[in-house]
Amino acid sequence: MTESAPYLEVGGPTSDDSSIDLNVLVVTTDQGRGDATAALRDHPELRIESTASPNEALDRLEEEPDIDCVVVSATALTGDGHSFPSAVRESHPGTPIVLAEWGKSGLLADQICREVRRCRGMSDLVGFREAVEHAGHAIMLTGRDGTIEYVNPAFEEITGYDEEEAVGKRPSLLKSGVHDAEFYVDLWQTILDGEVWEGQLQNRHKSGEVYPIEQTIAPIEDEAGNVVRFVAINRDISERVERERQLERSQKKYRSLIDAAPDAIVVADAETGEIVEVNRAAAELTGRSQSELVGSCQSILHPDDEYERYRQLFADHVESESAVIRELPDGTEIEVVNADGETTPVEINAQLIEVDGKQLFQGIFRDIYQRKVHERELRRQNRTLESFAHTVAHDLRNPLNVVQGKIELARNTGEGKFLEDAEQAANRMERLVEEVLELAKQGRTVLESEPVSLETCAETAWEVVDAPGGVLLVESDIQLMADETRLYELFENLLSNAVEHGGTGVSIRVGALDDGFYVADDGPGIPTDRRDRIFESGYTTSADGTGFGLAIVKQIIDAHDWEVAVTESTTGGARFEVTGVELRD
Amino acid sequence: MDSDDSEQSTVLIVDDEPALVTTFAAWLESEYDVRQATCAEEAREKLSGADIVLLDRKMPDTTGDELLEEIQARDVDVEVGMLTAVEPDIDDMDMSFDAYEVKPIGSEELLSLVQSLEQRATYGDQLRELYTLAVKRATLIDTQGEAELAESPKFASLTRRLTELRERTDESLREFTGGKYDAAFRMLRESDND
Repeated sequence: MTESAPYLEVGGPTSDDSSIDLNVLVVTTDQGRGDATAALRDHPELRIESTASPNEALDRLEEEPDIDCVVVSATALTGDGHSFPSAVRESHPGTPIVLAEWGKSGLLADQICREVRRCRGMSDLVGFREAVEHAGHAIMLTGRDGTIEYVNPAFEEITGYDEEEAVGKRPSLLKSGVHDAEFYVDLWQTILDGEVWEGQLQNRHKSGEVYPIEQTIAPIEDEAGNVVRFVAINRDISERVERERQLERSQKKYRSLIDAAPDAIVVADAETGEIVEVNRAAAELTGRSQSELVGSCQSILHPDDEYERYRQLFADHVESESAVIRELPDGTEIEVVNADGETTPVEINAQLIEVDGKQLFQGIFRDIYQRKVHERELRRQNRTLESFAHTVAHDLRNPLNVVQGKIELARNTGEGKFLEDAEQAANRMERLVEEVLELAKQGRTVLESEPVSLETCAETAWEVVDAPGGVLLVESDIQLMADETRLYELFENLLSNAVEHGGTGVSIRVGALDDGFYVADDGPGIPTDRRDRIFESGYTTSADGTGFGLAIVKQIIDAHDWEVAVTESTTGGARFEVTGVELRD
Repeated sequence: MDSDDSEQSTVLIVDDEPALVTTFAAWLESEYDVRQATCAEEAREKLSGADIVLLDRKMPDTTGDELLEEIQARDVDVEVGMLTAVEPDIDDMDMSFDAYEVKPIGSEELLSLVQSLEQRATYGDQLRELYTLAVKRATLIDTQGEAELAESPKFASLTRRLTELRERTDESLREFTGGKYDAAFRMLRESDND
């Protein structure tokens, strides 16, 4: 330990630091006491107590643990006193003993200070070593050339090599092979330059297993500033790295879950409205990249001209913490606007969450465009159904009224012809009910297209149409892709329609078009202004018609995704052209 | 109203269902001079001189609704009762008919309908309007849902107008004491027809 060692600053007579006092116990015979105290008189930093008895001195040492030094005169060591020094060393190994006759008065005081410093230094070193031995980190001392000079027990625990195996070897003993030469060159360069190297690296355990450590290597310099050794402190960070990996994995999992979510997820700072996180669906919904969204204000999601209303909505829901928001306060749809200015109706499941002490607003945006479309379609269908029901009710009420009226007339007059009329009307009601059921069935039937012969289908349908003087001429034998049963029904209704309006002697021609077929008759034809109404349910211009035949035809055409047009035949009759049909040679 | 030499009123039945036209005609024949039409064209020909028209709504070509508009446009003085299988909706009350009945209808109901139209023909404008509004309101109450009517501004305004007219009519009547209602009606009729 040199004078400059930091452990103790004790002022001798030459020292200008007199703030630290030493307690000195002087053991001397009564005659020698005067000499000893006289020798230390000029040193006020030394607090002197004295005793003539070595035994009493031992007691004092027990009682007063802050005695720094024992000064003993040779005279006191005579007789029983001869064992006093060894007794002190045993009971107080850190307390130095100085002979009172050591020298002149000034020298004695110096000697006391030196001895105290030496003893304290020793005990600090012991403590230091103790600390190194028990440190949880692996500590390795190497020479300047890298040869290992010392390793602590933790080193063995972490590396698998004990002191005997490690000392004399070089740190390359621990190399994992994961890092390239450049890595080690850089490391050595740093420490040889007298700098501290800090970093993470992979080492190989004696068992072969590679593990991560966090290492600090500090150069130790001599008094001239030359690097003479290195101390390396290694900390096994396997657990930490594993924890980090797990965290990363779980973050990745969380990220991919969020990203894979079909709904757009937007997390924004509840206070500022700044978007802090979005998923892929949010990018798709808004037509903006994830990086563009993050950092923007949440108002970027909504139409510009509605800025204030959405800002208020956001603020209100930050207050209410959690809610499903389906509309703005005035009942209008919540909309998200994309980069092209197009809007999408959404429903927002909003939740206030706290992350790292920050209030965040998490909004799950569900695109409800399809739902809205379905709702509209449902409403449309309901309206259609309602109008259909009205039509049916209307068309049943007329013949019903005839039945009731004719029965009443028959009852009043006793004439049987009224009953015949009533029966006819009742028959019409029956036919109507059947056709309504038929019409309802059309919508349900799943179509299975197969090649069907136009000729066979039309002629089979013609057989059941009651038209004794009528003629059907099929001018083509093409095959077309259709649901055979439905096509048959289509012909039955079209041909019946021709007979209904053109009479039982009607002449009908069926033939092929480029992408379909036609049915033309020589009846009275359909006036232009009525052509767009004839397919409506219940529309009829015939006293016997139910008005459902052509509605059925239209449904069959729609179900096949075909088109139908009504024109005039060469003879001035009606001509139905069905197109969009897939033909087979 | 065109006056006829006979005491019987003339009723024109317009319906594209011939069996129904003949049935209605058979029911009315004993008390009215009945004309029959199964399409708008025929109805136009037979309209002149008719006091009452029973008009079907859904007919091919010209519908009953269109024919009613024609009658109004030509300012034909005739009472029109819609006699149809169509359930009316609130908007239908904008049409200028005088009565609305949904088929099926029996002989007694039909006679009572024609009688009330015949009676109405003798009223002044104020009573006619009162009658028409009352008929329209009753028709709506019979055919529409309560909730739907409660939400309809049209129904509300119809009800308001009816209440107003009722009060005015009541006032007119109160001027005549001693239950001399015949005199009161005469007065209303005369003053309205001025």
